Amino acid sequence: MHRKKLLQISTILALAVGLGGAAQAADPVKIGYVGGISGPCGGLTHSAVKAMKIALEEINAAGGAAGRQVEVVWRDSKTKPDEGAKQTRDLILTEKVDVLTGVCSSSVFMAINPISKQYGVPLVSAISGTHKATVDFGHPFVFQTQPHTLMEGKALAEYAARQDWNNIVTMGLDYEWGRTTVKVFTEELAKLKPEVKISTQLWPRFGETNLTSYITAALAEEPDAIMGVLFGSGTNSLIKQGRSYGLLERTELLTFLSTESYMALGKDIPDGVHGWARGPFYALDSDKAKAFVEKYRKAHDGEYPNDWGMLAYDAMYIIAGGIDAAGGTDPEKFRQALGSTTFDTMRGPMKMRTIDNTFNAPSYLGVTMMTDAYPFPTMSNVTVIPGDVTLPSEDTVKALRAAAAK
Amino acid sequence: MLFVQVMQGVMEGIFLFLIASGLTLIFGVSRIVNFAHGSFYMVGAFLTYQIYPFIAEGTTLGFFATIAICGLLVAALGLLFEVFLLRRVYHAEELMQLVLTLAAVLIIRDVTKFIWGLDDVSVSLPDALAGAAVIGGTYLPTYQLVMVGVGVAVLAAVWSFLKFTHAGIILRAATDDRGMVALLGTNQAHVFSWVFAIGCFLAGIAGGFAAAFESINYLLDTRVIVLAFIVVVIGGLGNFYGALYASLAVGILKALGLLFAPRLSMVIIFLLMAVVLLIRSLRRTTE
Repeated sequence: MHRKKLLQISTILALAVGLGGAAQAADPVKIGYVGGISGPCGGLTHSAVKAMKIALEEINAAGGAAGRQVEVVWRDSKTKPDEGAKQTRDLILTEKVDVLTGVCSSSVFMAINPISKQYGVPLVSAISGTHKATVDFGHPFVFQTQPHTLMEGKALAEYAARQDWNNIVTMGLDYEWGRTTVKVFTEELAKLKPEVKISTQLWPRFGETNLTSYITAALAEEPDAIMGVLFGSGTNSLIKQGRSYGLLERTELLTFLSTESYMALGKDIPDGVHGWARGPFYALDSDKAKAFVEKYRKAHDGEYPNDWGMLAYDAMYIIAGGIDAAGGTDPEKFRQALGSTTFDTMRGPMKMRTIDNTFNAPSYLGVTMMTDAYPFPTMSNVTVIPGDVTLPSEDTVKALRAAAAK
Repeated sequence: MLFVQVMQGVMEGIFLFLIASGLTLIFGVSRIVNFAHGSFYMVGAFLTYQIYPFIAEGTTLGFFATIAICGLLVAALGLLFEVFLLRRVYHAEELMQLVLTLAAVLIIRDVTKFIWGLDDVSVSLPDALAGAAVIGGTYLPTYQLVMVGVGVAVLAAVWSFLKFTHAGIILRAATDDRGMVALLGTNQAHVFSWVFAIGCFLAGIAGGFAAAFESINYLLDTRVIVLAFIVVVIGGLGNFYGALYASLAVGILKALGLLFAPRLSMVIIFLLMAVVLLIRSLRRTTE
């Protein structure tokens, strides 16, 4: 009797183990998210997380990726490189994630990049803007789905060259992003329109919000335009404080203006500022974008997604689409799938080139205007500068890689 | 151009003084290095954002009334913090005091995040204050002139308070020799509480003014505290007038630095701090 029972139990156990093995094939795809949920990136990232959760729900409702459900493990880098690196290692070693994503702030991206390389786990950056991770220190498994600094600098130069500006002052935040963007902007502008003079370059400290001395120093050059490479509080302070100096009456201003700045300042952003953005929801008229914005607002008390939310939503679909096309999560197949698929994103069809795993993401530039459509100003007459125009040449990529290897 | 940047520096310096004066007052009397000063400043800014719409938004009078109310609210908050927490560690070692004020920084930041979220918010300037006095092509923004006025008023008020009132005399005495004041039968606890509240009031109104000047978020606390500490250190810890000179020096140096050596303007400020510290310590060793 006892023996019989033992046999029964063993059979059940054996079956369970066997079934377990079978179930393993249909285990969910695990994506590790590392982003600046708190710290300086917090104001940008919360919308990205909300957007990715919506994308995730949709993807899973439609059958997941490569027939498997998709699961995300969320981690906060606190916008600190060492914390980001620690979380990434843990995601790879403990959680055994198949793909990494997220990343806000260049410094965190640069800290995570070598870990993705070391373990061969694909890293798809949705937000971070530095080109160094994919170009200078690129490796087969790091991908970028938004315009990086080299592309943005060029897009800005393209835009500035079309304006009637002959004397420009640059004002870039004194760190990686500010410095590189200003450098590329000046170099590219010199090629497009050599007669333009850059009369001075100002470098406000990162986090500095009293920009009045910079404003007066810039205006002293009587420029046709000020080119600001600032974001968030920096941009907001520049616009608010500039008002008292008659900045917009005395010159023109081109600055990074993503959706959260419009929401923060509202009517304090005057009409006529030239803004540049990466994913302005109001300028995207694909059905996909419209449906997403509606869904997002419904889920979050009528709040609009910011640029980072738009980018993150697209990134999640690119990851799932890549896994689908690769038929699984093998990194090499995933890489090839990303390189050979055209993705239908909210920002239009996007393709990745394989030399530096960068997508041809567009840049958006326009002039601010208060309309009845939204409770805050938005950009009108938006110029879209396609990624194919702004992607650096292969020679540039090779030269930068050679320099970085030294 | 030189004149423009010097004026700019003065205006920025006075604003710094508004923040740093409270910090140095508190240190001077109670020897507490209050890391949470920036947090009280931030609370002042967010309260202004919250309250202004209810008090005649868009009018100048409403704006000043809002800032005054926020200053008082922050002072009350500071008083609670002092009475219920800080007071218990005056006799503990300095490390304990540091830990306590640092804990306040973290708590206030998380509560701020919880209430007001992660996004930047901003207060619009009343139109009457948004313009500028234009003198021969030089723009002197009305709002910054107003802040200079407030800075001078604070200075005058604190100066006459220290100079002419009984409480002021006790305060000055307490800065010099706390033990003696206690021996003479003055209740130190009250002095400390009031000074802490006054310091917080100053932080609160500075935050209120900042809300209309820049955009604010939950990271405002640390953004401002570094520069405030630099000013306090250059001016001499606890030295009220020193803080004034130091704020002006820092403001003007920064503005002029931008003119002559744009990439070094922050370095110059740190150099000034290093030099001041060096001279001070040399003097101490020679004495």
